[in-house]
Amino acid sequence: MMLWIRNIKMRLARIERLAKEAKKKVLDVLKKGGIKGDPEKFLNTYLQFFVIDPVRDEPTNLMRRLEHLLDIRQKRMKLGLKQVLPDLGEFTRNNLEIMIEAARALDLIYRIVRHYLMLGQKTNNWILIMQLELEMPQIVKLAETYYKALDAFKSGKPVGDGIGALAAATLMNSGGSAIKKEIVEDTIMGVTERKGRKLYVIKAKGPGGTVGKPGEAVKKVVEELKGKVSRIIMIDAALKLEGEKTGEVIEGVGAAIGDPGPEKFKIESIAMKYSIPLDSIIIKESLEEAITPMRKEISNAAEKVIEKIDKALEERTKEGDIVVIVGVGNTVGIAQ
Amino acid sequence: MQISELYTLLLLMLLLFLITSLIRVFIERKKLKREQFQTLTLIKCSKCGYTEEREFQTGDYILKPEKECPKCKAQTRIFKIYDVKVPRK
Ligand SMILES: [Zn+2]
Repeated sequence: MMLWIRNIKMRLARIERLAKEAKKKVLDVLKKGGIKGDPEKFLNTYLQFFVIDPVRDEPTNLMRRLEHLLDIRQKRMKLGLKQVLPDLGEFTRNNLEIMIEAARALDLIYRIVRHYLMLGQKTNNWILIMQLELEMPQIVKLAETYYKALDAFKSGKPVGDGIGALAAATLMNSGGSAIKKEIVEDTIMGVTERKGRKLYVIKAKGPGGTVGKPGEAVKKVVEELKGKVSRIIMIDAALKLEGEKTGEVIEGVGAAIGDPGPEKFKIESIAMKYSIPLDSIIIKESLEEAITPMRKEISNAAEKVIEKIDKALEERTKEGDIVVIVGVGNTVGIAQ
Repeated sequence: MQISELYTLLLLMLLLFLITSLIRVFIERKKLKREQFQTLTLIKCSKCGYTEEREFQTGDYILKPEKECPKCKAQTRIFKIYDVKVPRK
């Protein structure tokens, strides 16, 4: 048991180092942006910021309550950042928001591992220590992944999760000059024509790091068109199983989006209300590949996705139809 | 006398084996960890299809307008940004 404890402590020290360096990187960006007031104090407020889960036993309006809470959280963080860093651009601020999120995840991992180690030592619970020792390599890998993600967002490089947004951006600009507008906060819609069909393409507003509100945008577009949409096609990155090929493109039905619930719920509801078929195309990648700079295999998937969309348009829609296409994912480093 | 010498020989051999296997494990571990990536930016001209690859620079983003195309003088844009594995020497 002594050996296990020593081993865990060694790895915990590595996680602590990563967490500290992550904080330092965020602080650097805060200072460079010309922060008003004490940057450390500011960061600490958001490092342990929490959201209390809404009651789930009484499901009335659960999705709306959850959305409300998530909205408040995001607005508060955005406002906080805007107050101390008024001169920083919107996109840099969005990236900073995600950097803080990554630093928060690292800090949380560190505190949880430390908790179990100390608890195991205090109560002499060797099963707890053994479990921790066995899971340590995976935990360290997760911490390293978050650390790498921080770098990607610091330099504004596209990440693997952005493949949906990349496919949407490519599609938006494929058919001549598309009309683009910000339909809901942080979300862009572009209208373009392809194979004689009218496409309404939705993605988050880049090149800052944000996922936007694709659900709200789809709802608005479909309502504005009074439900005259013949198909909704969603594109998103999905977690692959270990051993599966990265960048593989596969098709299915349903709302392909990995949000906590509200956005997915909106898309499902609107599709049901007007009985619009809901297709989805997913690109397989691991968690590490999703939050670190986009690999070439993944970026190559954008063309494959468009091929699949063309096929879907030809096979499942008629000429003159209106189709809504949603590119889900973080759009860091990808404009429109 | 002879038996004790045999013992020292055995012990030495065992020690040697242990040390070599330890070194081997360390080398293999280092090999595993040294997986490095490089971020590249691909610039493309949508008119003639001219492409150019260069290293990523801070401030780059996909669809960012770049210098004019050396072939047809149209405006090029950043087409893709991706990570590629750097081959180990
Ligand atoms: Zn050209």
